Amino acid sequence: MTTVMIVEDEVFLQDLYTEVMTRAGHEVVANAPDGEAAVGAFRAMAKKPELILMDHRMPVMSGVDAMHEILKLDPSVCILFLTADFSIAKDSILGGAVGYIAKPFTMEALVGAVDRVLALRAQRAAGLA
Amino acid sequence: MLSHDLANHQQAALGFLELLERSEALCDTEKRLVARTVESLGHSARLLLQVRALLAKAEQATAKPAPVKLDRAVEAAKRAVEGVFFTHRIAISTEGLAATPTVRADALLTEALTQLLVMLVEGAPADRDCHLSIEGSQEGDRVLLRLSSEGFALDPRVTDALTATRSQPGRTRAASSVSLVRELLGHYGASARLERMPGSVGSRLVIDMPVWGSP
Repeated sequence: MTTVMIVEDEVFLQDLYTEVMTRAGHEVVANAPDGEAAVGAFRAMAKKPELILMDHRMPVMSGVDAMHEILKLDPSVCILFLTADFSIAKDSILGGAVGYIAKPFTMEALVGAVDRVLALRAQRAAGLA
Repeated sequence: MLSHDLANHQQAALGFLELLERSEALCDTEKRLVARTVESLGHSARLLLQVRALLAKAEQATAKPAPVKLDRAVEAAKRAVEGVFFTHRIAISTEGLAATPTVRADALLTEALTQLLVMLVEGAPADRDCHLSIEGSQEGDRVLLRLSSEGFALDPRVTDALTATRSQPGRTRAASSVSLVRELLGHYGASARLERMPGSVGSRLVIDMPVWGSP
């Protein structure tokens, strides 16, 4: 089981991703409605989530800005962007995100992307990638 | 912003329906109704792209032509179409785009390209993979972008609208899409036309654009 944090300003999508991640056997440990709240929550958590599902276009602080702040706190966390804003694909990957999925996508594609990210993470931990 | 919010709600609705579709508690009739709802949401997503293009057209009066790199405009249009038709198996290959010079256009070129790709994809049979190709080339002070479908043709209503000598706005959705594309492209001296593909079942649309800096 992987611990997941969801950063998304749209509550319907927060609920959807929470349901999908739970059905896939992961544990959603936090939800944040914007980048600033995500950074604050991440800083306050004694046990950091292993994976963050991150939107980009959000009020207060964008997903890319939040990613930079979070990776300063813990460079090992995997951040997967889920966004309709294709223009930030390059910035998110160069900034340290492990992947990017463009909205809209199927839930099957989301689970598949999470599985691939976690497999890559396991390989890195084992020194294979 | 409006289209972004709409896209988010469509994503949520489609996601929840996908979960519902997998429920073993649904009877066949309920599964059919869920499938129809998914289909209807897909259509609304396509209409949303058209609304986005119309909003872009409204901004066109103040838009100034600028140098645009074709590969970026094509990539953005590709992503928009792949996103909307995400329940289809679409493969879009590109060739020669990076080598073409910048063209005189603006951000609205992406909207026009998106509309043309949607027209091609809508001609694809639902039960088959959809292969499209986009090829860029330079001819003198013009850049030609060829959008082709492989193994299936454009909807005849789109073909009729493209070959009509006069635009027929509002008569059909196809006609209004074609009319919209012509207006978006015409703003900076570009045009779209249908090109014959002898011996092929597919269709080919050609966008003819001026090279940036050409008279």
